[in-house]
Amino acid sequence: MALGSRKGKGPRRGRRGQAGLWSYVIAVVAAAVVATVLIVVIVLSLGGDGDGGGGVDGPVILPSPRPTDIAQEGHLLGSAGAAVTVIEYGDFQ
Amino acid sequence: MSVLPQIEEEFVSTGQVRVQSRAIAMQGEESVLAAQAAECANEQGQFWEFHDTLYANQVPEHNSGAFSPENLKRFAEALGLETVAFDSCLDSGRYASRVRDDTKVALQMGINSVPTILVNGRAAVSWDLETVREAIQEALGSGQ
Repeated sequence: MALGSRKGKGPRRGRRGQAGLWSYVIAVVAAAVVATVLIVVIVLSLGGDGDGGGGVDGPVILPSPRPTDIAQEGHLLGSAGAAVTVIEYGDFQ
Repeated sequence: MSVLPQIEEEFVSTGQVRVQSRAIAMQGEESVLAAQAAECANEQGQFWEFHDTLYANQVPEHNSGAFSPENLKRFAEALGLETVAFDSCLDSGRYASRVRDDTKVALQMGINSVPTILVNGRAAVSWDLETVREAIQEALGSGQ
């Protein structure tokens, strides 16, 4: 009787244990999937160019407009009466 | 990387400094294309807007397509330039020889790295902001 009783309870505990184990495994896998997706989204949103730029095919990044009171004339920027002229030789790349 | 935004904020907006941009092409074909595109934007009075857009869309790897003709045309469209005229200008290559000539002249002047900053004709020792700021303040102080 006692043995039979133990046999009767054993499988019921096992099913509950298995169900709990599966729940645990599913939760861990779900958490891993969510974490992976989050990491991928963050990496993609940071971009691969390391410069915050739009990249080769990304959206065009438009700069903030200048104050309208700064004079512009061709390649010159600023007042014609300025005491100092700064020339920047630059390569756009 | 350009120190111009800080220089503009501190000195140009106050009327003390005037800035001139001279594009040279030292880093390959897309440098030439970008400089030509800036000239095409200049035809429509938007040199500086295009200049700033180029800097904003730089990528670390040179000649990787970031400044391909297609992308340069996208920049123009995003800025609201008249695209038929811009595209025609860029496709014609009419500024290519000028860009190459300007680059040769700059190299002959001893400008062999970019950016190079001249303050009242004198090259700043370095192009970092503090050095350029000091050179400007010295020029302002000396009345050069």
